Amino acid sequence: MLLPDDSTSPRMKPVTDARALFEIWAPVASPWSAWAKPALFTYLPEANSAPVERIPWTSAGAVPLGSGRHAVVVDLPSVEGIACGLALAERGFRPVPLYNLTQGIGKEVVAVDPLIAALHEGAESLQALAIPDDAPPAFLLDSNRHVGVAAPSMFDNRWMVFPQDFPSARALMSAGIERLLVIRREGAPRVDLLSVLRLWRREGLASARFDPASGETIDLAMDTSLLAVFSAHLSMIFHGLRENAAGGFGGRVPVPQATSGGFA
Amino acid sequence: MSEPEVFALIASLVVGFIGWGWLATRGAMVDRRLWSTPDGRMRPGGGFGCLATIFAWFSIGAVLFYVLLNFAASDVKPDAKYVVLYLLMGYAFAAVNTIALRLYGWKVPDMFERRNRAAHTLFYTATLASVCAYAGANIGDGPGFYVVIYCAALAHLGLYTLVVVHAALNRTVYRILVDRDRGIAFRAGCMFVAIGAILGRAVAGNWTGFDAATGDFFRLGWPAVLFVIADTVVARVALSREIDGNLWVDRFTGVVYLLAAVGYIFMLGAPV
Repeated sequence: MLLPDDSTSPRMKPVTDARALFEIWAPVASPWSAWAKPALFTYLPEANSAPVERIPWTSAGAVPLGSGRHAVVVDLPSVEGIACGLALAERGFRPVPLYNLTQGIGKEVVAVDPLIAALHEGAESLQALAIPDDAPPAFLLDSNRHVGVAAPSMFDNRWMVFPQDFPSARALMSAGIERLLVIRREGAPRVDLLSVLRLWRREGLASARFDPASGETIDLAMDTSLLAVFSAHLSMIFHGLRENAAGGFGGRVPVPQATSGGFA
Repeated sequence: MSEPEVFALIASLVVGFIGWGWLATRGAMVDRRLWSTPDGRMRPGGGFGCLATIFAWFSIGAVLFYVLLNFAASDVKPDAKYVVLYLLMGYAFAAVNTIALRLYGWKVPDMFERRNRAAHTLFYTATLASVCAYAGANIGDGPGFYVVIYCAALAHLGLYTLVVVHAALNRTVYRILVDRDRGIAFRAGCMFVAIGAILGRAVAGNWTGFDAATGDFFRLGWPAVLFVIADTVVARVALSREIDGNLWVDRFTGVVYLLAAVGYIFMLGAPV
């Protein structure tokens, strides 16, 4: 599975406005755009930055979408998620970027530039595709969202997802979605995504995980007990990440005072 | 004004200013940065970040002004300094209430970043519930501002306890924050206002001592529990598979809660 070929897609005017870029990825006509996160779309790649190479997305087997309507959660590292989203767009899905991190002063814990560049680069291909308004959603996540250690003076932009970041199972099912597929390579989904899947399961929406490396599809079994839901709820409240006042996640880790503060 | 009163004034000013200023600024920043379109318009659902806060801010002022100028202690009503003090304390309580709403699962991003209208409804009504609870604490004569703080804290403690119990017994939080069901948000919000008004009435009246105030709070405020029980039953009976499936039933039920609370307060008569 590859990204749309440049030679067959009509050339579009380069997107030079960050908000226009968001309009392409989250058009008002799509019902799923209400869930798209605009945080990353407030940035544009530096004018003098090197152009990003198109990343072809490949998997060991075809994504098992079968018959009926599926919703997809793409939980792949960095730009691979965007490449996968564009590949799914070719198959009639509406990619919904849920990247909820920001940039700031200091070394970033989660790299933002590649994501911004890939969203910018992929906009042309996406614009060329005639995705129907009622297309099923493919929610895009970065599986590296919680990876890394935030040291003093770094910009801690690790992030997470909450159940509120996705449509409810009721909303998905009323749009005809019958099943959910998580495309993820490295083992079981993280606890934040797991809590979303668990709530969907409780509402009657089953999910499976597709591993693009092996081509295997495994049904996701999860604990839907009240205790599991409650403990996940607590971990959502006390997540310890830095929320940005202007939206999204990201904040500078303060540098501890060098002085002892005692008597001289 | 005595030194403790000046301290209370400054503390309220700081808490209120930081709380509401932060909320309005954040709303405006998120609107400007995230939700405006290339041609300067707002995307659907955007543009309410700052307005929502300002609307809530004026609503608080209107309710508290009315109560302070008509039902507050006899030495407060004619004195602008004290009216300002108790008004600012009300804003501080409402700001703290915004943080306490996290107990129910609501967070600021639900309103500004996720543009969830149901979360907006919950915010307005919960703020109104807090204002009702605080306004009751200002009714009647008392020896000083500390009795207002005690009574308001008591009413808010009762309100938060019932809010947490309601969240534990129901899936209402999920229906509001994830399903974005506006009908359920209105119904739950009206329930909070009803509880806030009843608990506010329970702490209203002339001050006769801490024991008497606490006793009155439980004696007059217990019907607030009935609203949680009633809403738990309603949430199960009126359960709809659709989002906003029972919009008008939920709205009607919310109005019934408010009327029931008003009826109870009228039944109790003027506080003594």
